[in-house]
Amino acid sequence: MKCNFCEWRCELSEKPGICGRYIEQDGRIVEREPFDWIDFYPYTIESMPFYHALSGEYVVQTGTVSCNARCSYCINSHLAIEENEKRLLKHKDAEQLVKMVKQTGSAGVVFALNEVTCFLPSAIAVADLLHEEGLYAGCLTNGFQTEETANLLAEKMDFINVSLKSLSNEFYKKDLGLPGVDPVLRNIKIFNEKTHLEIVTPLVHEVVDNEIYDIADFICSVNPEIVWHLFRLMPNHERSDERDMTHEEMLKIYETVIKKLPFTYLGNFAGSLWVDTYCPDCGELIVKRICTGAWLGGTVYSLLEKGCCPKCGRKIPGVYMDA
Amino acid sequence: MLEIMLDVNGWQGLFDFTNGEELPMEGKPYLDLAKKITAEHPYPGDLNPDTVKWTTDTALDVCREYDPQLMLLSYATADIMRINSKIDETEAKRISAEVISEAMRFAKTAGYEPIIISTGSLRPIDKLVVTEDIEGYFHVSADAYLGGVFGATEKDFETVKNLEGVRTETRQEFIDKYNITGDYALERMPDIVLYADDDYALTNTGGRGTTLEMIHRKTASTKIFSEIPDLPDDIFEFRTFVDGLLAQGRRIAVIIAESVDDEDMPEGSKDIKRIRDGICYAEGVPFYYALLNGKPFNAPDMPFIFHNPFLKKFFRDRYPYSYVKTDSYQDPIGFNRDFKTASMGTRSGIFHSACMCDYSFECHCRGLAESGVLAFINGDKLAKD
Repeated sequence: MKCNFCEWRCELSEKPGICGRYIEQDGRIVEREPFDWIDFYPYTIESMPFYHALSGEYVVQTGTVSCNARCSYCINSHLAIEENEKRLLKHKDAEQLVKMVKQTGSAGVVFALNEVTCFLPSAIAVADLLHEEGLYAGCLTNGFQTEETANLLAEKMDFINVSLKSLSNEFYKKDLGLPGVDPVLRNIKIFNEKTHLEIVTPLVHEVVDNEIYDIADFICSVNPEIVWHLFRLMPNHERSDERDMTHEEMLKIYETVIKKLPFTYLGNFAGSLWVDTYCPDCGELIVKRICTGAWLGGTVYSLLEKGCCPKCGRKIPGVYMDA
Repeated sequence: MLEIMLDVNGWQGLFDFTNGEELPMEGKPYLDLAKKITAEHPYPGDLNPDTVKWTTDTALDVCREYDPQLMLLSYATADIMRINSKIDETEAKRISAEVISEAMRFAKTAGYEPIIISTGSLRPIDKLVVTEDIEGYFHVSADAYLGGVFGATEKDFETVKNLEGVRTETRQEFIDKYNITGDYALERMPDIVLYADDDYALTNTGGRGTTLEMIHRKTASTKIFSEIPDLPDDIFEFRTFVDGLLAQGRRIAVIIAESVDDEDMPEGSKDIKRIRDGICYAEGVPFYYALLNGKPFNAPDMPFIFHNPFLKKFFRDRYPYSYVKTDSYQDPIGFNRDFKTASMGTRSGIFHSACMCDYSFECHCRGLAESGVLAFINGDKLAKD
């Protein structure tokens, strides 16, 4: 039978498909090692990154192993790509994971360490239980799901961060090991309609040189209020010898695109001064954040009142506990 | 003011050491050295063996420009690469040999009397402590040696008694044993503390999702090398010993060669004890603070694994760029001395906090994710000079 979770639509049997996480059993798609997580720990939601969802709260970050893509610069290749007997999965069923969320005073769970489509049934079960307890679920994804999976995720996740790495089919084939970008663009539109969406774009040279402003135009065409994270990339995996983008290059992009996408941020490095939120209407500094390292950060203060600017009352898109 | 300077991808920013607020860089001539050093020496990345030479070359430039009487170096490359990536024995030996030869090159070129000390040998992981049955939140130190159970259930207190490869203490036993009194430590303490035996490793959360390739041996001593006579017998005596040399006006380089195995230390190295009250000071905060400050782990209110997740204080509103610094850590070796001090190294987060020199340089890395070069700057002292 064909798997309908991602757009590879792999033929499943007792042998798994490309991601290696599903097999066919008695005419059903069965997740291998359900509820076996590579890690789970509470951290700031800004570190995921989500900047407009539950600002200042802690969430339990978790994930499993494997991926349906093969990104040449993957920062989690030791979990997502490389076969590694040192990867140690630890079992926690949905009840145990939700208990941990409550124990640690966290606001929910973010499925963040690898592609959520590779453990979809477990993620959905946890999300359902979180919602029963009045807690939140979110995920990071490469967006290469089928339309039905995208709709399911949009229904079950309170916030989603899609990594839109390029608009080029060629780039997706060559550098990500995926057949093309079209499903990702389609799913971004679905997520935008149905849940809170943030987008992250790793800054690699080909993308910056050729199409970063086209990506900005695409996001703007979907919704100019979308939160966009320009992500300083530390080239890793097959690109570990590549030079970093200069700060000048990154800042030029940020300063250009924030004029049309007011919730653009430049981060993933210690000390970034480009992670605060200003009200697009009155210019007030409304959320002050701090980046203390690559993938680390938090909210210093938020002046938002029920998701609105305290000075002019403008609605700021996001997920708020007091709204 | 005490300051943190960051250099990332060619951008430089200055921040208040204590609260992380951005500061202006203008009108501070003492920043010129930090700007130059960080700009000219971008960090190669934690899993790149070039970091050994990077440490030496950067340190030499610091000495050319500033000429401190006390220079501290930390070579963490062998530790980071052996623990986190699969390098074979030959490569491990090569890196360790390079660390020692680079340490000597530094001392000779810059004109210091070197004292080289290792954090001790590594060993492969034989056995993992099976902790799946623990119901509370289980947190483990980066080196898989110490663990803490937070929110422990009644069953957990029984479960841990039957675990193989560990000894355990309850929260109260731990507090009584080490006379822990500070609020900072007390509120971060777990309900149960676990210590892995020498041939065991705890399974960890909060790391990179994989078990380590190697762990630190928990032997009674490590190795120290210097041509200076009468070296101390215990790491807790080291600080007093170095202070004595400095008082004689001698130019001293303290060089920490992390995880260079005992047999790879220079010929003539001697043993130096590193166990106190049943805890082996083999790496990270406890080792650096004990060596450079002469005090046990609990003195600076930093119980070295115990970041109670229930507190939601992983994100730090004080010393946000300094990882392990606490208000109670007093008298770091390089801080406000009446002579010049500087440090340079690859043990990110810990080293500058432990030294607090006039200038303390290091890479900025968390969990192997690189974020440029960091400098701690004692602006109060330097502005007077």
